[in-house]
Amino acid sequence: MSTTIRPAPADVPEPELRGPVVERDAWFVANIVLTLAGLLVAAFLVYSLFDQEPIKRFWLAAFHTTFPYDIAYLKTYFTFPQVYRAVQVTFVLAILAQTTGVVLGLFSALGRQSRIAVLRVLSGLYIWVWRGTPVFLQLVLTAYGVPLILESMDAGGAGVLTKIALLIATSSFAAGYVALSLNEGAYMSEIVRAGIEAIDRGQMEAAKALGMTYGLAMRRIVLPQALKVILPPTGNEFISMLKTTSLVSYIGLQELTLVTLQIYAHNFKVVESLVAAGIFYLAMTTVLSLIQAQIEIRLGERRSEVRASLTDNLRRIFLGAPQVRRPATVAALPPKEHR
Amino acid sequence: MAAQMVEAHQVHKYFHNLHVLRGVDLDVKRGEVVVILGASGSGKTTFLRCINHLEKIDGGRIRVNGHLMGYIERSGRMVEQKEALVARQRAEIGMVFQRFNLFPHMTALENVIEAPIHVKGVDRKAAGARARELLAKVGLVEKADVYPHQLSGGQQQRVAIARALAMDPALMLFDEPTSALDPELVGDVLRAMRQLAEEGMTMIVVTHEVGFAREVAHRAVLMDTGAILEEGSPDEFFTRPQHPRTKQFLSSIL
Repeated sequence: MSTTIRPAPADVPEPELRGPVVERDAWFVANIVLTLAGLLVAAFLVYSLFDQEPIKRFWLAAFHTTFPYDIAYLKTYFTFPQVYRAVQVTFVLAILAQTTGVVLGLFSALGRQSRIAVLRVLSGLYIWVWRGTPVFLQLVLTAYGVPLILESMDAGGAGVLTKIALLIATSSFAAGYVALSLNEGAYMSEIVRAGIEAIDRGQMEAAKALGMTYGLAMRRIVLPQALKVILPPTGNEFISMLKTTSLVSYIGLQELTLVTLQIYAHNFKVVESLVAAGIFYLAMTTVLSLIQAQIEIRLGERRSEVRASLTDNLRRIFLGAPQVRRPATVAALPPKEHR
Repeated sequence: MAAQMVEAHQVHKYFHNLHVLRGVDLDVKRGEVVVILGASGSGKTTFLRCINHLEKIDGGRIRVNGHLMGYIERSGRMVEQKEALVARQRAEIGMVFQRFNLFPHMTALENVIEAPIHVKGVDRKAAGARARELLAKVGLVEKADVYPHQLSGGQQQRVAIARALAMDPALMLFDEPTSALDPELVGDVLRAMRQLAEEGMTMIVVTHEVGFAREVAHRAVLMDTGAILEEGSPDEFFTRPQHPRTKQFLSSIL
C-alpha cells in the first residue's frame, strides 16, 4: 500500500450531484444504432406514402421482383366513409360491453360473498362457465343458438321471449353486446373481488361498529377504496375489449374488421387493407393506454403532487417504466489505490 | 331504562374447535368504567367484540341497555336478528379499535360526520358543527381537513374516538386503544378517554395501561382462558390480588 497524503475530512468537497450515470457498454452503442436504424426505416416507409419510386427500386434490387404493394393506398383507405362508421361501431360496442361488464362483475363479485347461498352458487357458476369457455363460442351461441332456445320456450309465439329472440337474431350488434358483456362480467368479477379483498377487514368492521349495514358500508367505505385497485386492470380490460370486438365480424356486424374484409374482397389489396385496419386499432388502443396511464398516475400520485406529462406517459408505454442506474456502488468503494 | 348497561351471562364462543369464551359473566352499570385485563389469547378482545355483535356468540346472553344484543329469543332459542336491526343496535355502541380503522379516503371531519349523516340522517351542516365540537374536545379541531395518513397514530386514535362519539353512543368499547401507539403518543389518547369517563360515559376498556385502570376505572377485571377470574375495585385488584393467576399476571406487566 502506498502512502498518500489524504486531505483532512473537512476539506473533502461535497460530491457533485449529477444525473444518473449511464454505463456506455456495448448495449449503449447497440441501442443507439438500432434506434437510428428503426427511425430510418420508419421515415422511409412514411416517405413512400408520397413517393413509391425509391422503395420499388430497393425491392427490385433486394428481392429481384417488382414491389407488389401499394403503400399510397393507405391514404385512400383512411378516406373510406364505411371505415369511419365501422370505427364508430367498434368503439361504441366496446364501451357499452365494457361498462355492462363492469356492472355485472360488481354484482357477481358481491354475489360470491353473499350470505345467501343461492346467490353465491349462481355467481360462482356464472364465473366458472363464462371464464371457462371461449368468447368466440359464446358469441356464436348467443347469436345463433339463443334465439332458437328462446323461441322454443315461448309457447304462444308472441311473448317477450320471442321479441328478445328476434332482436338477437336480427341485430348482430345486440348479439355481440350481450355476448361480450356477459363474458367481460365474468372477468371483471375476479378483478372486483381482488379489489374488495385488498381492503383491510378493519374498514368493514369500523363501518359496522358505527351502525352501517353491509350494503351501506360497501358503498360508502369499501368500494371507494377498492376502486383504486380495480381501476388499472379495468383499463387493460377495456383495451382488450376493443380488440375482441373484431370477433363480432363473424356474426355480421359492420365493425372495423368485417368492413376491412369487405374492402379487400373488392379491391384485392389484402395486405394493405389489413395493415391499415391494424394501424386504426393501434391508434385507438394507444389513445386508451394514454388515458389509462394518465388516470393511474393521477390516482397513485395525488398525494405527492407529481403530474406525469404526456411525454412521460408515451415513454412509459413504449419503453416501460424508467430504470435509473445510480452510481451508488461506485461511490461506496474507496479509490483504487487504497484497496 | 335499565340500571345495567351491559349484562353478559354465561357467554360462550368457539372459533371452530377452539373454545375461546367459556362462560363469561359481566354486568356493567350505567356510567361505570370497567377495565378488562388479561394475557393475549385470554379472550378479552373477543368478548368485547361480542358485546356489539361483531362476533356471534354460541351460548349465553348479552343484553345492552336491557335489549338482547344481536339476537331475539324465540321459544327458548336464540335467533339472529335482521341485519338492519343489528346495525341499529350497534349505532348506540361506540367502538374504538387497536388499529384505529379510520377511513383513509376521507378527511378527519368526513370520518366523523359519515355515520351521523348516512346512518342517523342528520343533515350535513349540523353534523359538521357537532363534529368540529368533538374534534375540539379531543384537541384536533385544526386537523379537521387533514387525511388520516397525515396524522400521527395518537391523533388518528383521537379522531377515531370523536368518530365514535358522533353517534352519541350510550356505551363505548375500547379495544386496546393505545397498544399500537408509540409510547410518547399514549398520553393524549388516555387523556381524552379520562375526560370521557369523567363526563359519565359507560366504558369497557381492554387495555394494558395500569395507570389508567387505577386512576379512571371503577372496576378492574382479569380474564384468563376465556373466563373472568377475578374482579374488584382497582385499589383492591392491584394491591391485594386474590387469585395466584392475577398475581402472576400483574407481576408480568408491572
